[in-house]
This record gives sequence, structure tokens and C-alpha cells, in this order.
Amino acid sequence: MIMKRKAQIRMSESIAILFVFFILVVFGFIFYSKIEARNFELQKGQVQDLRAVEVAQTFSFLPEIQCTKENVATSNCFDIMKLEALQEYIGESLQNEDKYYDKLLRSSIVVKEIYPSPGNSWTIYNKSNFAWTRKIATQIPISLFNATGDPSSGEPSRYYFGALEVEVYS
Amino acid sequence: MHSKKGVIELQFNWIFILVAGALILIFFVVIVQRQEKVSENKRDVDIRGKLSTILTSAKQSTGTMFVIKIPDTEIKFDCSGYSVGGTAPFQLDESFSPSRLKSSQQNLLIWAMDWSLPYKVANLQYITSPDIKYVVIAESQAVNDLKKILPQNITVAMVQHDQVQNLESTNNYMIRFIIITREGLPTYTPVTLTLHPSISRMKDDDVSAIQIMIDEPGTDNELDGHGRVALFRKGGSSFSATPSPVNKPYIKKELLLGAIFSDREETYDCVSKRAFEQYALTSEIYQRRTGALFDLYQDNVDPMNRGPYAGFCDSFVIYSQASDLIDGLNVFLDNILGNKQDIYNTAYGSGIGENLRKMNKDLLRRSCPLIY
Repeated sequence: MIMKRKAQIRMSESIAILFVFFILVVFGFIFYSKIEARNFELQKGQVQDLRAVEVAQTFSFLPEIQCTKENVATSNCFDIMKLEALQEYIGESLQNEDKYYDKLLRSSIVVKEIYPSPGNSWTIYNKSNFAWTRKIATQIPISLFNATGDPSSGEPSRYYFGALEVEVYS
Repeated sequence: MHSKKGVIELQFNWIFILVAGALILIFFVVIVQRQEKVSENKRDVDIRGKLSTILTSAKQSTGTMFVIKIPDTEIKFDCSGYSVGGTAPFQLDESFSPSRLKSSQQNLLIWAMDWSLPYKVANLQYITSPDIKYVVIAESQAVNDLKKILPQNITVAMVQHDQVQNLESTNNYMIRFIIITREGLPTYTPVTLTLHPSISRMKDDDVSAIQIMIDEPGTDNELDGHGRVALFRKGGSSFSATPSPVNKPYIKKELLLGAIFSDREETYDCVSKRAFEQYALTSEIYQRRTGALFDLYQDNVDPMNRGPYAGFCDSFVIYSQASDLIDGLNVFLDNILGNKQDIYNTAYGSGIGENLRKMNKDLLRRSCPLIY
């Protein structure tokens, strides 16, 4: 009788040890999963940052708006007449705007003149009308090219200073 | 009696240890397997994100070859874009590549070229692996012109037509034959090629051929005009004539390179379609800009129709003509797989007809704002 009880106690001890062991393993696993989830969120954030850079870069190199002279492009330079044409085209219909969605994703793109007329700005693309949780803003200094100048006042074609503001939402 | 109880207890202890040990082992095996999958997915997501950024940046630098190191993984490419492992594909618009990319040296070759017609339309990007062999049939016309446009880092072999049967596979996971033909000259087609048994044994999907048919040669490079391409895939020990490949149009050497680096007809179709859609968008902007220039400079007898800069550009009529020409492009572009000769002629012309390049030169001579 005493022997049977002793064996039962030893069994219970072993089961208790196993139970505690598994509890510790589960705690360890939960802790590890939390760290992994945090790392994943960080990685997701990095991917979104990279995507924002991609959008800014893609827009900067759009052949539709780049300054060219005999088809030689000037980097980081937008032709004002082309910008206005693109703004008009995208603004005409949702269908036209959607043609740029694959390239510009959910973002807003504004080109601002800094000098000589700081008030001038062109909102080229705006897809911010949804409940976004994160916004990544990028600003790039650019040149703006006035291809005609103002011949009536003797002003030749000229370059202005400007900034490209890209905000990518997610 | 006492010793019998002890034996049972001992046996029970061993069974208990066995069951508990197996449970613990299974638990850890499951965790390790799950972690392995998670790590692989994480690695693929990481590669995908970085690759997408690298390729986007490289696409903007035309004329420069980039050799990038990739982890030991296979990148797949189709109409929906590039995908690594089980990750969602990412799109790079006008980017041409074979359907599978891998490299024993873990290198990828990337470069881009500016596609203009006559104004810049897009940067066409090409991605390939040094482990893919490009075999140029040396009797092909314009082989020297092809050498000029192919980058040096890719694996190219020049082989005479009758020597193809002696060309062995040298552990390349893909082989692509290139034949260039021109009207009026003796022509070979991939169907006439006899393959070496080591190549015949390769998977059909991994051996392909392209036949380039030049319709109008370019001025500096024969391949810089326009023409058609036919894409073949191996069927057993030779290239099959059935089903007969459909001729696809190309305009200029940049698009032709796209056809050379796309081993599948459907990927060339959808990437070139995307390139022509971009052409339509760019043309739309150029048409509006040219129309706006006409409105600014038009010099009409009726003062109500005179532009604010009337009298400052004698050739203002060119803007109107150019606007009409660009408008006409949309008609040709609608027929995506049709003959692209009209587009080429609108851009560069052949003969006496007006074309956009000539108009731009006229405007430059007269110090007027240029079309492009």
C-alpha cells in the first residue's frame, strides 16, 4: 500500500516537472514570437520607406515631364509646360489618374516653385482620400524649366528653383 | 511478489520516459520546421524589398551595366512581374527578362537603355544571368551590329550555322539562339538548326530561339530600324515549326533587345504592350504641350486669334503640324500588335514626308522652343 502511494507520488512529480517544463517552453515561445512580430513590423516599415523612395525616384524620372533639349534629358529638372499638361491630363478623369497608380501608388505629389515665385505650385497626383495609418514624406530639390520665357519682355527661356514633395500613404 | 512490482514500475518508467521524450521531440521538430518556413519567407520578403529598390534605381541609369550579387535563390519573371520564392510579384513596367533567373556565381546583370521615338518614351530595362548562353548564328546579317548593342558581361557564343550541331551544353541552365535575317538575303530559321544531343536533352522550356527579321534598317545600326521577331521554343531535339510563331513587331534596337532577353512570347507581348502604353501617355503630354506652344506663338491676321507671343517664332505652324502628327500616333498605337512602320515614320520619316525629328530641327534652327 505504502509502495503504491510512493509510486503515485513519483508519477505526479514527473508529470508536474513536465508540466512546468512545457509552461516554460510555451512562455519562451510566446516571448520569441513577440520579438519576431516586432522585427517583422520594423521590416515592414523599412519596406514602406523603400517604397516611398521608389515612388519619388519614379516620378523624378518620368519621361513625360523631364526637361529635354534635342532629346537629351536634364536630371532633376521638370519642364513647366509638361507639368501643366500632365496635371491637366491626370485631373481630367479618374481613368487617367488610374493609369499612374501602378507607378505612384497611394501618394500625393506636389511640385513647388521656390524661386523666383514661391507661391507657384502644381498638385500633379493625389491619392490620399482613404483612412491611411502611415505617411512617409520625401522632399527633393529640383529645377523647373520655363521653355518659352517671356519674349514680349525680352526674357529668354530660363530655369527656376523648386522642390518635389512626395508623400506616400499606407 | 515484491520484485515483480519493481519490474512493472521500472517498465512503466521507461514507457513514461519514451512517451514524454517523443512528445518533447515532436514539439521541437514542429517548432524548428515552422521556424524554417518563417525564416525562408522572411528572407524572400527581404530579398524582394531590396531587389525592387535596386532594380528601380538601376532602371533610371541608362547605358550602365550593373552586376549585383543575389542570394542563392531563383527569381521568376512573368507578366505580373518578378517574384522571389512565395512572395507577391513586383512590377517594374518596361523590364525584360528570361522567365527564370539564377546564377551559380550569384550574379545578376542589369542595365537599361533609353527608348526614344523620337522623344524619350521610357527606360527599357534588361535583366539576365551570366549562366544563360546566347548563341548568335554567325552567318546572320548585322551580327556586328548586334555585338555593338549586347553588353560585354553576358555569355555570347558566335557559331556558324553548320557548326550548331557541334555546340555542346556547357552547364548553362538556359540557351537562346539568335538568328538575324533580312529581305533578299539567304535566310535561316531556327527550324533548320540541328542541335547537339547535350542540348536536345535539356528541358524544352530552357532552350529557345529568336528570329529577327529587319524590315527597315536603322541609319547607324541596322538593328535600330524596325522589323519583326518570331520566338521559338525547343520541342524534343529541334525547334518546332508548328505551331508557327506569330511575328511580333519591334521598333528600334532597345525594343529588339527586349525580345532577345524575353524567352517567352507572352512576356515579350505584355512588356512591349506596356512600353507602347507608356508611349501613348508620353505622346498625350507632348501633344498638349505642342498645342499650348501653338496657342502662344500663333500669328493670325485676326487679332482675336493671335497668341501672346505672336511674332517671336516664324515657324509657329510647325507646332500645329507636330500636334496633328502626334495625334495620329494614337491611331497606330491602338493597334498594339500591328505594323509599327507608321510610328517609326512619324518619328523619323523615310523620304520626303514630314516627321517629328525634322520639325524639331527646324525649330532649333529658328531659335523657337523645341517640341522635345
